[in-house]
Amino acid sequence: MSNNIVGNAYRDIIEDVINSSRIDCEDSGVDETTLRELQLLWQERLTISGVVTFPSDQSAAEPESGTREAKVSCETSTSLRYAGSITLTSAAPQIVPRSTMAAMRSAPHIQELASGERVPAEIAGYSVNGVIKDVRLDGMTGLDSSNSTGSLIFGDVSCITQADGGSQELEVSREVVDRLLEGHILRQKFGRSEHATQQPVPQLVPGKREKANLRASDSSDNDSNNDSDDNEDSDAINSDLDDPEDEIHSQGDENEGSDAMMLCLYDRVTRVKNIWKCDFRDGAVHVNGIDYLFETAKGEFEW
Amino acid sequence: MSASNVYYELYRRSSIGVALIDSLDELIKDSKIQPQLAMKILSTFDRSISEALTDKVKSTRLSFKGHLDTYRFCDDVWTFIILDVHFKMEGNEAIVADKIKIVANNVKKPGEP
Repeated sequence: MSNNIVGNAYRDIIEDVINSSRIDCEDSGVDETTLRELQLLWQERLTISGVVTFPSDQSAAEPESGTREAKVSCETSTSLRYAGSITLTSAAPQIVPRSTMAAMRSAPHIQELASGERVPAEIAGYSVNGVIKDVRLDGMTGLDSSNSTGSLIFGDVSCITQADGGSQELEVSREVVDRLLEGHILRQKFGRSEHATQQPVPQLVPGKREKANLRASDSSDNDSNNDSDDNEDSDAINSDLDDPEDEIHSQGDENEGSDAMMLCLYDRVTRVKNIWKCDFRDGAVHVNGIDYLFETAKGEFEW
Repeated sequence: MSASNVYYELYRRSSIGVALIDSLDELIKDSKIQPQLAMKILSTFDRSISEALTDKVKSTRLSFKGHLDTYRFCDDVWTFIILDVHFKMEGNEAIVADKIKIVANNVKKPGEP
């Protein structure tokens, strides 16, 4: 079972859900733009989490390197494409989490800027994707933000869209995207102080940035924060009579998202003395940060 | 409504399910969609992933062994917590994990013979 099979299956599921939800969206008065935005957000979250590599991420690298990125060397463009997949995370594990954090931190702000300039949502979404690629570019290749090569890449909106899957029907204004991304590059280069020179930002944005910061913070930080909060709550609620094992299990449940998990159906569960044997099917496994799917599985445990 | 139209919400806790829920939450927060529409989309997701796992994921088998730390059977749902898990995938790929939680629903849905 390879991760590529999972990528194809996830892509098919996303397309099926989006296509099947179109009628419900029309009945609810939601337009196609919002549906596309949902699809982009969904795919983006899966790509950022690194649990799976979408086939479009891999296939985009090969045809696009020779045509739409003619201004950039093939090697650079290929590395840019794979920056969006999980393959390069092993090569630069320290860089990707920081890039991801910066990307997620800046993504809501970029969307807010786009909405403030009365840019349609799909452009904001594509700007977000361009920002994510931008951050990874700076992190992975070490290019200066003032490098024209970097600006050329992100000025080419079609490159951004292609990496995220086909969406040819949407028209994107290059000038608007360039303006948004220049602002992001300046912020990256000069830090938060540069933000004061930007156009005024609504008061909602700091709150959103704080929320993005919470989301983008490292999982270990979240765990430590949760643990510290839980310790305070546990002191207030739990008594000394509580079983310490229960505390371990309760903390484990709260960190459920990062732990290995298998969601499946069971065919048969049997036990002979302390040996349990289980037959599972149609399952999704998340282990070591990667997703796997299986048709059948056999488990044997000793209790 | 027949039992065949009801699909388990189990897979909403998977990576793809959580990503969908987070995306829907973001759109609800931005007032772009209504919560009722989000629930319909999630129901569609339940059906889609169940059918994909049944029809599209073929000939993928794995086996695993470990130490059973906790077992629970309630409301026709088995929950296991396994420690020191060793997975054996197809192609002799081996994966090791310190701990895994297994949540398994009955393959026979309520109402089915």
